[in-house]
Amino acid sequence: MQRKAYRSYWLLAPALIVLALNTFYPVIYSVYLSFTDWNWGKTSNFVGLTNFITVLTKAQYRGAFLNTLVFSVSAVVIETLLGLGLALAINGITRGAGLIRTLLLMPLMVSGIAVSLVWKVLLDPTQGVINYLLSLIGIEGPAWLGTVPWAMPSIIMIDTWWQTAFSFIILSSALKGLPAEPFEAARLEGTSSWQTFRHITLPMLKPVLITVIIFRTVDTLKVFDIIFGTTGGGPLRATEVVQTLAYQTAFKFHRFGESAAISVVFSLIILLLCLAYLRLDTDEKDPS
Amino acid sequence: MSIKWLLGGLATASALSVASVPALAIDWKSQSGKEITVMASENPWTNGLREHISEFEAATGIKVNLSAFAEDLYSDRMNLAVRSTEPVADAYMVQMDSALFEQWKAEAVEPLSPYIADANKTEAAYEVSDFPAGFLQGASFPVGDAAAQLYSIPISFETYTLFYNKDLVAKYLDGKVPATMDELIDAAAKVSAAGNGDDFGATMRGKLSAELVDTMTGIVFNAWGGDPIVLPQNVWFDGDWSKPRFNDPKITKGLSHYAGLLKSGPPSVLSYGWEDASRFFADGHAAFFVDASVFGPSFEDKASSKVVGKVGYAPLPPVIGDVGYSGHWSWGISIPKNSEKKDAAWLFVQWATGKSMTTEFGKKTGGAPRLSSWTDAGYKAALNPDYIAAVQTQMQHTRPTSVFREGWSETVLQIVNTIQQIAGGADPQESTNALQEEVAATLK
Repeated sequence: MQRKAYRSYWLLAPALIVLALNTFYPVIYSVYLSFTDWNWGKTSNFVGLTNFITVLTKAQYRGAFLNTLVFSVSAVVIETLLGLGLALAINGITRGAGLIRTLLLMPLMVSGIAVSLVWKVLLDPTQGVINYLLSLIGIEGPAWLGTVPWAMPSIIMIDTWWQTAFSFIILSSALKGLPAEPFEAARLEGTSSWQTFRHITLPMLKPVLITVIIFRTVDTLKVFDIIFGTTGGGPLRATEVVQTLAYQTAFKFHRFGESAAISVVFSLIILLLCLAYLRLDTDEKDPS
Repeated sequence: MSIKWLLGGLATASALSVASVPALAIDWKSQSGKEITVMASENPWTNGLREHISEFEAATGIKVNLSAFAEDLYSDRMNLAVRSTEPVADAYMVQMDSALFEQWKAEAVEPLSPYIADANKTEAAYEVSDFPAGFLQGASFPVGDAAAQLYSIPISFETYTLFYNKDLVAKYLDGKVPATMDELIDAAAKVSAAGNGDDFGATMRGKLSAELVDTMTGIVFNAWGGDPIVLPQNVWFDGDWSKPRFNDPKITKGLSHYAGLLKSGPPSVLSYGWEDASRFFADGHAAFFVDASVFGPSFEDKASSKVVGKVGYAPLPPVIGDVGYSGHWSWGISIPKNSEKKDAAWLFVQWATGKSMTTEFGKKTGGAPRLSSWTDAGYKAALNPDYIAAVQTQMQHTRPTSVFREGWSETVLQIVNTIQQIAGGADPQESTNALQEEVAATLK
């Protein structure tokens, strides 16, 4: 038995080594860089906590953190609710559900930059099809990506179109896997649809919902491509987020140390959030 | 003071005067059998290169692998390649501005002056003095040093000029092309007001991006007039990094002009990059477009433009006196320090930037950087005569847009943010006062 276990470890070892090298080396190197003033030149100096102090005190970083938070919370809430709604709706369909699932999944196949370019054209107020369609029903569409009040909601809308399918497909699979007996018992008891959802479906889906929320939170906190490809962080920095600022700081301003410090701080925030979610999940399972 | 680009960069000229007259013909087959990689950004110059690359291979026996990337991706890829410890490319396109300066500071780029000075490596007919000295300033380091070395050769240049749609100018402005910058701002506003959401007075780059820098600097130069400007700080500083002057009334006026044109742009103009702004003009929806002269040939191409034959070309309308000032900028070609085939790479660079090929590629870009190209009958026949006249006039009153300072892009974004504020209705002087404080804090 023990020999079998050892053999399993040996078989896993190559994959674990590759994974460790790919994961740990960049992380350790980023942490190292965050304590230096490396500017893509041949030399770098140790600068202590200077980069971290800059990241935590500079107004521009605070603005970018806030924008990231607004985007993430809004996108996760909308996409999770929409994904859940779609999953529940399609769960009740017997014919054509496969086709609908396939169609809903299609946006997920498209790369972020392609999504941003397509939506930039669609949302163009003068030449885009969205405002044209709105004009047909007498609504004057806004300058979606070109004005401060509309830029961030537009980005959230683009992400919703792109990523709702992720929540949908996970929750849809989870729904299909739920045992039929509690629902049958509820039906015999004459409970309403809402009561069934509230007291049976939702509690049983909770672990999967938390997983979906964790994945979407981590993903939305790392948003980059759809902003880079549409607004570049403008207008007036209204859509500037942590990742676009980190990219600019490294590749445009050549302050790689400062950029690494942003990444380190932000990774810690994401780690804490994930731990909090997981704690929530554990507490639910084990109230003692 | 009138700025003559032909007379600029005395230090550069003196540094190169010895280098420009080698005497003997060279052996173009000396590197035969070698294989080199050339990194390039996808643009008309690269298209021209593709058509002629086999001629170089046949003449030298050197195999060329062209590695071209979309412009959005190119800068990062190129910087990584040049700074790599392993050789990636042997010659590469580079922006002759702070990008090249930063590579020079990082000791990542090979000086070309020794190659030019070597009669065994460079043809006598190569003639570096055929490039305006003002263009070479952007690639000669240390800046202003009499012993400065040249690190890049220009392959295409652009100056920032006015494009106008003759049909829209006739429809909304009775055919009157604005004679001053203030008239241009007013005329653009008038077209937008009367355009009913279909036609607009202007289209411009408005996205929060460092790609605005050269057009914006050209417009600021116009407001600055003929007063002196010194490199490496350029117009933004009073000859010293400790003396920023972003709230100078003339700079404020220049930034307001840019914002004024944005105000007359389409509703989403603040998300427009160069490709969006030029497409909008090429689709015939904007009366005016101030941007790089190199867009000119594409507006006369039926495959990409709905305004073929309807575009007027002019230098920037004057702000002060009767001269419209502007800026110029160039793509160059360099050899990375990490290349192991520098001699073969130099043969390629020499061929690609020689008189014949510069003129040939210039027919694609509309911005041949050699003076001799502009008197070449074939070159002139390939381009719109109004375009040639406008560019040649503007070229007499341009200065390099570059600022040679590491991390300059961050300041550029601060300037663009200020332009967006002014376009949104903020008071110009208050906005540039805030910019002055922001930049001073950043540069500390």
